[in-house]
Amino acid sequence: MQRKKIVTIGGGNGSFTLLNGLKKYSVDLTAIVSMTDNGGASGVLRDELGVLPPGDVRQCLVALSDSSEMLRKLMNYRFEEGGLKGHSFGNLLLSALEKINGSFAKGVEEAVNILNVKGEVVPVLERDTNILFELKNGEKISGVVNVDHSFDLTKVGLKKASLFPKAKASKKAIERLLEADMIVIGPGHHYCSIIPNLLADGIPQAIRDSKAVVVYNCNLVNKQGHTDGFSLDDYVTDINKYLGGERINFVTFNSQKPAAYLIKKYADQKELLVNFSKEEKTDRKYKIVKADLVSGEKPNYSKVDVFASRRAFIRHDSDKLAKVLMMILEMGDRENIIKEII
Amino acid sequence: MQKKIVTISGGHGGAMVLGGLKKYPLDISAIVSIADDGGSTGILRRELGVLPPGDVKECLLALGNQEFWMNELLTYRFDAGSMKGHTVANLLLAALEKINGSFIKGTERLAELLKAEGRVIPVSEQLMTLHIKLGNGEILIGETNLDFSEEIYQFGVKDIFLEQRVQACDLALRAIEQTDMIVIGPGDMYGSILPIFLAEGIVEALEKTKAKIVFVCNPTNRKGQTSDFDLTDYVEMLEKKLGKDKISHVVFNNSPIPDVLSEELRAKEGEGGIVSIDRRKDVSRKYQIIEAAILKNEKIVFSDNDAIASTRAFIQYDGDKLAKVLIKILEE
Repeated sequence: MQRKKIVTIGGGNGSFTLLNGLKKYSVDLTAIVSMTDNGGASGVLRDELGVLPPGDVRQCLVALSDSSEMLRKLMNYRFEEGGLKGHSFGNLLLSALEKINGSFAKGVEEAVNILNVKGEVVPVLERDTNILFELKNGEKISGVVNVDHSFDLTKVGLKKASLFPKAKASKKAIERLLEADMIVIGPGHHYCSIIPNLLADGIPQAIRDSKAVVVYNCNLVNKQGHTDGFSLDDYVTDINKYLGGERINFVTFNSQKPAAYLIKKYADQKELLVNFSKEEKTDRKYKIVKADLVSGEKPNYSKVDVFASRRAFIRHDSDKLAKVLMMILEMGDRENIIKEII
Repeated sequence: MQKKIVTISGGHGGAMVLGGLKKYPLDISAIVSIADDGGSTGILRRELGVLPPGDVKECLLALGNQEFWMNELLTYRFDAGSMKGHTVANLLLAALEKINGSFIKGTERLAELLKAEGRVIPVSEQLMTLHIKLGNGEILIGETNLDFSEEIYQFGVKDIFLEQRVQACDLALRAIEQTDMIVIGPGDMYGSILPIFLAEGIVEALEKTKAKIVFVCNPTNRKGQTSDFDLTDYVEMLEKKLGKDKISHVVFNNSPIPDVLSEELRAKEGEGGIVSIDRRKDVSRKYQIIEAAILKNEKIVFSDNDAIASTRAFIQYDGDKLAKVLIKILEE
């Protein structure tokens, strides 16, 4: 039987978790990665070297790397002092590869060789661009960092999200989406990682045109100022809006309450956990797969990672998530044989 | 059994020798100075508190079997921002030291990553801060002064020493004691070669070893440091540190230096830039001189972002030619 093709769409952390699980199965993996990060070490490299932001791509490369533990550690190692403080070696390596090869995409291809990556990592677009969010009061917020820090998305409401300057999706990303058996969206920051991928010109259409099963891994927690009070259906509705049609077939949803000490990390956040109520909606065109998807591990972020405080503490478990996705993927094959499971 | 060779060198000279030697079935250990504190290496040393990666890295790259593009990547120097001037390989070695908790372990990991044909051993795991005594009695602190100080041109270097004792690492001592041949140089005498003998234990290990000790004499002199030196002066300079009559062979280049290069050398270092050999002094010598044509034919080009490019030697030996000579000495 031909190996199934899975294409994932996301940012750095979420894709890392997702890919770490999926890579254990014999499937062809392509990770499409957002390219609009302008914060932290990636932002500094963008500003100082004029390169594209390497951070999210790096995380996907490391997740899919079949090289030694040492090389993986090295890629994620962050310098702790001096002018290099906060930079990860992997980001610097990717920037050097971009400089040498003249394009980020070619640099990533070289990195795939060096790190013995099992699969593909495809930057969603290949030009220097930022997200531009226009709010209902006319206010404009530009760049992932500003959007990330803004509370106005909830307070005022988002009117229109776009890329400025506009950017076409990379050809490869579109090709892979069209050929995919399954497209997996998320987990990841909704407005900073997931939506920016869908803003690249050509991505929504490719997903609409693809024959793939489209699965959305619903986030576990809402983000303050961005998605306060969002329910599962709100997320799906929002993503479908950017996809330009009700294209999502399955949504995975966590049924297990996260550990109390992790919930405490989000001290005063109300409506922290994403809610799902069967009755909220009656005409869903997507199926919801409820399962225990939450990780019991304590996340361990570097102390010089400027985003450490903002990275998720309640996270998906790689293996649990992958298992559910593989079951969904296989379901397609059996549909013709098994008529119904009652 | 494979013959064992130990090289004692700095970065560039070491890389050249090792690049030639690695093509032979030998057990190679390169002992490298850690006194370097200039350029990218100096910044990493000061800011990250790592041992200076520059020389170790150059030797490892030379011993490595990485593909060409990999080499291009590792030697890539950033040209802007806070990483300006750093090479990827220097950052790599610094990160490996941090991850593995020791410079020697970091060096070993890099050797594995590069599939190096031999080991590179930093002479010590302690930081070494070079003190440079000038002809007028003044003392400059830091190896990088050798590259940029006007005073050195004016007063000349009298000697180098350390204020704090630095213990040579066991790996280096064992390598010296158990080897069949030791190759010293070429390289900056005060900047790269002699600091290795300042690490405690090295001179004693050289005392004990039965190995042949070959000195590869530099082709060119450095103003204020080895002005007007001839072969004998170099040997005497070395003997002051490692004891009399320890050197068994001296390799000396006898291929003529092209006019263009000697002109350039005259402009940079003044007269007396080319090392001469005074054959009349032969009588009292305990070492054998091997004269050979070992000069590299093409001119060496350095990166624009290399902060210390101006200090790097542009008249260099050919690693393959030199290795051939060294193998002959080893087998004789």
